[in-house]
Amino acid sequence: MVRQPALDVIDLMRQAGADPEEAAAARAESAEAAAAKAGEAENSDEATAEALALLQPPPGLVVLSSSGGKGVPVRGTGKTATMMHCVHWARSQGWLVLHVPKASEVMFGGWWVEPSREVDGDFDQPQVDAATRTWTKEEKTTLTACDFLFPPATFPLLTSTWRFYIYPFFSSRGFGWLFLMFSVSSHTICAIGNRWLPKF
Amino acid sequence: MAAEILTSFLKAHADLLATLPVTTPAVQEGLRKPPREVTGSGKVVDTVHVDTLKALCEAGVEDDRMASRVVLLLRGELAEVTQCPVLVAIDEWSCLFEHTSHFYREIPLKAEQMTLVRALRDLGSCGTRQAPPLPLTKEASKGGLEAAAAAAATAAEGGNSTATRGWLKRGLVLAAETTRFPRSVELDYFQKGRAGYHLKGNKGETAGARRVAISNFEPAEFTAACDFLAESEVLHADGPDQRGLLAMYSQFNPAALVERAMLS
Repeated sequence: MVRQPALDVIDLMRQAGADPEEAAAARAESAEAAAAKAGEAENSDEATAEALALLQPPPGLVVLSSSGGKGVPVRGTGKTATMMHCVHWARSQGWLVLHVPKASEVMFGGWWVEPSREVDGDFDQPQVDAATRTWTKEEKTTLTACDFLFPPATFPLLTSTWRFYIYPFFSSRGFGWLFLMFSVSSHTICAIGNRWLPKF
Repeated sequence: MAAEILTSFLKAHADLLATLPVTTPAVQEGLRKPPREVTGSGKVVDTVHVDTLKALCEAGVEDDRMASRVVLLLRGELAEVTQCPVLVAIDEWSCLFEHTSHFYREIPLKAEQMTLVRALRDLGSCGTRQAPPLPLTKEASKGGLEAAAAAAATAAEGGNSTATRGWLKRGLVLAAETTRFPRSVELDYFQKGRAGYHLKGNKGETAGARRVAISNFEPAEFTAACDFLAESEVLHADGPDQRGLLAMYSQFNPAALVERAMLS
């Protein structure tokens, strides 16, 4: 079942995928025909605008967005499915298709980044198995454990399942603070007093 | 991620890529490989000579340190391809304008600092583009079609017009937004200067970009989708009551409909 937006996009793809010279010539022909009609038409301004619109090339970028009315985004309306239809059609027609199915992986996925060797200030994302990779001496010395990204699922686990409590207490050695950590998921309690913490 | 993109691209189009030559002079001169260590003699810098797009992709797949840069170069090369139409399809594209969770030396990175993000996001700066949109102003209309046609012809030649910029010479960039991730920043990628184009509001279409809004099912589409699901034996208990329940449960949302049908 192919929905109308996918058919619309495929129609745009047909226009954009045509040979540029032939498409420009075809547009010029149709515009000339429209211009001839414009000369005969009573409202020549509108006809001329239509003729000019025929000269417009097809769009170079199509953005699929969800429409829930009044600009409210709605999930699950079929943007990805529409894209899949278009990719399938393009591959069946012999197009060259560079498909990135999950751009979120670029932003939130992966394990580490490293400075680009070509451009200062840029960072690359090599994605291979760290265990099997041959690390250079420079990488071994410059990359530390902190440079490795925890899996995105780890952060909520670390932050949301731990509860932190601070209690004042008095003892024979005087006033102090008791730091308590309680893990909701594993029901683990960690306690430490500021007597055992370094002075700060 | 860069290596994965290149691997799947090679897997799908290896034969076609072998016939497409590299056009960018910087790439033709050769790709500088990351320095490797040689015992006792310091670092050695190799250069990879690539003549086709297939060789370019293979260079990125073989050495993961070059993969991100190769994707960036590949995007520029695809902009120049005219032998066959090109489709660049990026799902969850709006995600690239959010904050990234990567950091280096305990300092969070900005998305702009990442090569791969720039390669996929800043689509407006990837070289020349097809003819720019013609001004549909009254002045242009009064100027007549001849001047407009001349401008279109100049732009179609892909020549030295300074107005030509942006997308692919032959083909289309298809980007899909996502609502899966919270918008931590105000999305202004439709503003001029961010992605190289701008749209007027949510429905406007100018400057070579067009937004296609996809909404929930219409009643006719809902019926057709239910028929399809019943034929494919996803929807088991089919009937007027069941369809009424499905309509209430899913609110004509395609994803919700499939979920509910699978539970039926």
